[in-house]
Amino acid sequence: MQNILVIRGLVKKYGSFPALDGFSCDIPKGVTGLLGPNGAGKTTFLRAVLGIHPFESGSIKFLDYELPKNLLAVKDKIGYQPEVDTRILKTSAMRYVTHMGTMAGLSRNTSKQRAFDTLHYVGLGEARYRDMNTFSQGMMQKVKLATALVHDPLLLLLDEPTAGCDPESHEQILDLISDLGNNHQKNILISTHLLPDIERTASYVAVMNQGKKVIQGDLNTILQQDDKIINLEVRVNGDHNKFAQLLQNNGFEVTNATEIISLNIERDNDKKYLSIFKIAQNNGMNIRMMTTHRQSLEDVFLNEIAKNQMEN
Amino acid sequence: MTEDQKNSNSTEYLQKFTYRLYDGKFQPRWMRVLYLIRFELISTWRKSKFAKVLMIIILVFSFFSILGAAMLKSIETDEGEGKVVIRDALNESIASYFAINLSFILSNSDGISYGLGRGLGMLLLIVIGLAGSGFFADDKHGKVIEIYLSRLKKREYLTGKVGAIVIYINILVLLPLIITGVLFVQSLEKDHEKFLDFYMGIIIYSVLCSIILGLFILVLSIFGEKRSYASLIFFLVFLFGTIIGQVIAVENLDNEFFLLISPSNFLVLLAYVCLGDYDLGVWDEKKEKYIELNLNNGVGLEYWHIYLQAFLFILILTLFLTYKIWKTTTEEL
Repeated sequence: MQNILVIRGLVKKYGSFPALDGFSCDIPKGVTGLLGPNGAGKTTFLRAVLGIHPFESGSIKFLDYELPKNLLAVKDKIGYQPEVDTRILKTSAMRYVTHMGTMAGLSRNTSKQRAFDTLHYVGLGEARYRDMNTFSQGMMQKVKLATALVHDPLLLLLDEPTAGCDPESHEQILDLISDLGNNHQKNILISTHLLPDIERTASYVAVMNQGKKVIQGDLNTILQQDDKIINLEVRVNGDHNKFAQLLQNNGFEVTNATEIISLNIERDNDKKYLSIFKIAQNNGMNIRMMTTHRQSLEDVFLNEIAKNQMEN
Repeated sequence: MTEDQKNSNSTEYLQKFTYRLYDGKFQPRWMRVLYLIRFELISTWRKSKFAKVLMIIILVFSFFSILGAAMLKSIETDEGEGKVVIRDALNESIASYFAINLSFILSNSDGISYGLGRGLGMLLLIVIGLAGSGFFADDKHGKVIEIYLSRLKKREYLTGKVGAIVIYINILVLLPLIITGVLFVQSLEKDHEKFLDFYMGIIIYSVLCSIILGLFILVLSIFGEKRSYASLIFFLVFLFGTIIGQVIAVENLDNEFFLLISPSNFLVLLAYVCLGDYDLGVWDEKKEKYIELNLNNGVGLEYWHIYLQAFLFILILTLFLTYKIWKTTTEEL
């Protein structure tokens, strides 16, 4: 798959603090989630791509364009939704989006038409002539998304696109992101703290911490990946405490002994699997359920960040 | 139901309005600067009811200047002394627009002042201060600088803002002055073609004045935390700068360079220089004494000193603006 962004050794410092410390990453076409704790450098990276904050060293390649050499061409092909609420005094959503369309290079008439289209698309058709300053957080996020879309960019950079939304707006924005990524082949890079949002919309993930990449890859691969040990969940009919004790006596590492017993086991050790059934059979119990615990993105995220911090 | 729910119902809008691709043309980059200027001008004009009211007041008062012309008609001739008096009166009516006379009058006519609109432009300073202070301060407050810079170069953003404030101030300054000038000449039943240099002088003065005042308020706007601080500082600098400058100047009338300290005096002198009127004088009201001030005699203050000061103002203010926009912090975006 062709990468839409290739970043190598990106360095950006605020004074002596390195916000990006040799960040390297490949962002493929499609929807990608950019994860990281506060201060990881996500917003700084997005601003570096847009040339808002010039970087000191390293390289960013957007398709065939090099940054900062081809910055102006790149700016026109990117739509940016910043994290903060953007407002112009006494201005309607329609006027705001139209204006930002002209700033992206559209003629005034075209921009008006596109503003009308995108505001309807994000669900603000009825409210488009209202003063933006009367909008709720959810509506503001939609205005920002419409602004990012008005010039039909190749790549959307969305910084916390659902922050502050009520549940209804939150769902709608995720629907829009999925629709844009799946049905309109938009390339989207979402920077967010909300891991379930990424699990729902993205197919690729990059995790960063302290200005560096921690892990990147296909979302499914990342969720399935682990070392040689997997976490097994077992349920028996009978005394589950007794069964957990029996497993421990037979050398199993039991991590949880409630109704569902959790234990760690080597991934390819078939004998160990069989011995669980034998222990149950020998003690007059039946295995009612045995399944591997699927890691959530949050598990992966926390593990990787913890590992990264220990390494540093 | 929440407000959002009323405005859009889950997937209904997705089905109704699908996303549309755009494969049309993009405008050249300079068009974006023009669009930014247009947007800022319209927004500033819409927001400022006070400016609209003040413009009407200024235009009404400007017509009183024409009364001066009626008085002049009794002494005017096309030759010699009469011709000089008419031209002096015309120049003074323009130059005295931003004049504040506390302890002396800077004029071109031996202590006689024809400028009936004297100091009327001071009212405009309030409008300029209020309108211009929001140019960057409102963007910072509304967090839109980041959005602008994601689409424009810093230079384009800056040019758009400077262009908008200069045009806005130029309209406010030039319109009353040019109307006054044209009606003045008309009331004297003179041929307008003979006064083309006078009209050109008004335009040059108005443009220079707009650039200096515009850049100054923009610098205050970009450095200030709030627009109210910027507009207050703008007005206070002009007012107290003029008071202090004139106190210093009146105590040192033998040194002509002290006249340049007061912002009001500087604008008056700039107007005379732009209108090509170098033979001026200072009327000290307390001592009832007239001191000649020739700006083209190779002694003391010269006309080019005033142009130089204007140029230095523009240069320094531009450097401040450029520095600040290039060093915009993450908090200000």
